[in-house]
Amino acid sequence: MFAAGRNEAEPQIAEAALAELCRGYWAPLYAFVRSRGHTVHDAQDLTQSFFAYVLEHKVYARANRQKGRFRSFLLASLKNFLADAADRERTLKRGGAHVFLPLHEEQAKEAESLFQTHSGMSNEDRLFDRSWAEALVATALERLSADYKREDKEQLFKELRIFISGGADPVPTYAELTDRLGITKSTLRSHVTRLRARYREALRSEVRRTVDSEQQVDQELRELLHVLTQM
Amino acid sequence: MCGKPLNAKGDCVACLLRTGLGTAVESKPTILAFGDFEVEQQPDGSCWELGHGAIGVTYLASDKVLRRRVALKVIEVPSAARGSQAVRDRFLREARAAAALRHPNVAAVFQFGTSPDASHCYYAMELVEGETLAARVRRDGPLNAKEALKIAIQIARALTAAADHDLIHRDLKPSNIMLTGDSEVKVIDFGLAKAITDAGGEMDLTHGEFVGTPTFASPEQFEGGPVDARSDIYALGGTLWFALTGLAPHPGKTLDEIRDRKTRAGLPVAQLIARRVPEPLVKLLRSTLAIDPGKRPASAREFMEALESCRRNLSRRIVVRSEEAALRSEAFSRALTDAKACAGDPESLQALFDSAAKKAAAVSKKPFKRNWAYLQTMLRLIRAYHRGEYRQVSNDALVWIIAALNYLVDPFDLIPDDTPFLGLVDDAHVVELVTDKTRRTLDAFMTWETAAR
Repeated sequence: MFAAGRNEAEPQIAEAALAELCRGYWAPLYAFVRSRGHTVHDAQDLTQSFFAYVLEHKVYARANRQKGRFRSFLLASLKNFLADAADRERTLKRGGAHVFLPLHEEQAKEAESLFQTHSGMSNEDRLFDRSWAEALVATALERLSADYKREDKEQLFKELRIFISGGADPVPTYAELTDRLGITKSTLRSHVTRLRARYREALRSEVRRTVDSEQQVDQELRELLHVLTQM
Repeated sequence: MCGKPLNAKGDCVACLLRTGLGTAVESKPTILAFGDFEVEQQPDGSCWELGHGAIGVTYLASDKVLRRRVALKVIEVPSAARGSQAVRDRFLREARAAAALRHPNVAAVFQFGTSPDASHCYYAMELVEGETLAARVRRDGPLNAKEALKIAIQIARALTAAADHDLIHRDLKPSNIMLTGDSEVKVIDFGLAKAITDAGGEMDLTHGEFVGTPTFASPEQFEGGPVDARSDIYALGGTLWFALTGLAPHPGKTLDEIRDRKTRAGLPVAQLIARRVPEPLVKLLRSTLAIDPGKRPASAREFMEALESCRRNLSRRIVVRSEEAALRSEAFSRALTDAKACAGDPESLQALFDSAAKKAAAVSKKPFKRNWAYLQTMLRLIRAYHRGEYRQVSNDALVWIIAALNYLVDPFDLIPDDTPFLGLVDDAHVVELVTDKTRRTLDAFMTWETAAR
C-alpha cells in the first residue's frame, strides 16, 4: 500500500493495489463508522465515500511509512473525513455519480455482523483494531485457501484448517485424519507443519503490505494480539 | 484454542495471530470467570450474553458459592484509570450505595469486584425475568398514557429510594428498565456502570468523549461536569417520552447532532399531540426535559407526585387535539389495524400489499423528498419482493410496510424504478428498519404537517 502511494509511474497499478486493500479492510472501517452512531445505510455510504475520497484525493500518497502503520493512517484519515461536515453532508446524498467499490450483499452483511459482535466495546479505536485483526486473518486465510484450491488440495486445506484456526470444534486426532485422507501419519504431520508455515507466511505477507519492515510486522501482530487478549 | 471469543466463522482470531508470530498455543478452552461468578455458556460454547451496550457486557452467570443465577455486568476499565485510587474509591463508594439500595423497583446488586489486573470491573445483579421497556415498545408500539404513567411512576419511586441513599443512576434509558409480568418495573444498572467509565470531573477517563448512551442523557452530562438527581429526572422524562411515542425526543446519528438538538432545538411536542397525550402530561414533560436543570422538578419525589397527579387526571380525559395530526394518527392506526388483520393470511396480505404498492406507484411526485431515505429503503424491499428477488420478508415487517405505505406514501416522491435493490437485509433488519424508521418518519411527517398548517 505504501508502495502504491509512491508509484507515480503506474497509477493504475497503484489504484488497483489500493482498491484490493480497501476491499479487504472495508469491514473494520465500516464497523468504526457504525460505532459513531450512523445507521447501516449511512455507514455503508460513508465507508464507500471514504474510499472514493481516498482514491480521488490521492490521500494514500501522503502516507509516510516512517510516521506509522497503514492501519493507523487509515483510521486517522477516516476520523478526519468523518469530522468534515461538508464531506459528510455530501456523502449522505445517495446515488452519487462515482461508485468506487461495488458493495456486495455478503460483504455488507459480514461487516454489519462484525460491528454487532463488537459493538459492546467501550472504545471505538479498539473496536476498529479488533475488526482489523479479524479482517487481516480472514484475508490471509482466503489467500491460503485459494492457493490450496489452485493446487487441487482444497479438501486437504478444509480438513487441516482447524490446526491453524483453533475454534470450538475439537481438533481431530491424527488417526482419524489419516483414515479420512488416506495418507500416513508422517505425511499428515508434514502437511500440518507445511500448512502452518504457509499460513504464517500468508499472514505476515498481508501485514507486510501495510508496514515497512519485518520488525514492524512482528510489532503489528503483537499489537493486534494484545487488543484481542485484553479481555 | 486459547479460550478467546471466536469470530463469526468459528475461528479463534487470537490463535490465528499467534501463528503469525510463531507462538501458537494449544490449550483447552477456558471458562470466563470473575470472582465467584462463572459466565454460563451457550450450547455452542460461546458466552451467554444477556445484553451489551457501549460500556460493558451483561452475561448470564452462576454464583458458585450461593449456587444461584445472576446477571453479571462486566465493564472494561479505561486504561488511563486503572491505576487511579480516585476512580477505585469512587467505584467502591457507588457500589456500596447501590448494594445498600433495596427497593421493589430496583434490581438488587449482590456483589462487585475487579479483575486481578484491574482491567475489568464487574458486579452481580438480581436476574430479572422479563423484557426491557425498549423491547416492549419495539414489539408492541408506543404505550398508552395510562400504561406509560404506570411504568414511569415506578421508575420515579426507584429514583426516590435512590435519592435517600444519595445515589443517582446516570444512565437511565428504556433498555435499563426491565418489565416483569404486569408491567412491574425493575431498574437495572444503578449508578455503577457510569461510575466506572465516567469519573464526573475527578478524572477525564474518556478523553473528553461521552461514554454511554447519549440519546437519553441530560444536556449537562455532555459537559462532563458533576450531575445530580435532576439529570436522572431528565432521563426519566426522555424515557417516558419514548414509551408514549416510540421515539426519543432528541434523536440523532452523531453525538454532536444529539447534543445540538438537546441544547438548541425545541421539543417536538407534535409527537405527543399526535399520540393524544393528555395536556397535563405534555406540560410535565416540557418541564422535565428543560435544558436548565433548575426548571425541572427539583426531586424524584416531586416528579413522582406530579406523575401521580397526571394519572388521576387521566379519568377526566383531558386531551389536546391538533385536529389534522390526530386525524392522521387515526388513519395510521386504521391502516395498521387493516394490515394486522391480514397478517396471518398470506392471500389477503398479498392483496393488501398489491393495493398499497399500486397506490404508491400512482402518486405524483411531491417536493419534500429529501428526508425520506427510509421510504426508499422500504420501497426497494417492496419492489424486490414483487419481483420475487426477496422472499424472506417477515409478516411483521410486511404489516409495517403496508401500514406505512397506506398511510404515508401518497405525498412522497418515489425512487426511480431502475434503482438497484441492494438486498442487504435479513428479517430482523427489515423489522428494525421498518418499525424504527417508520416511527421516526411519522414523527417528521407530523412535524411537517403541523408546520405546514
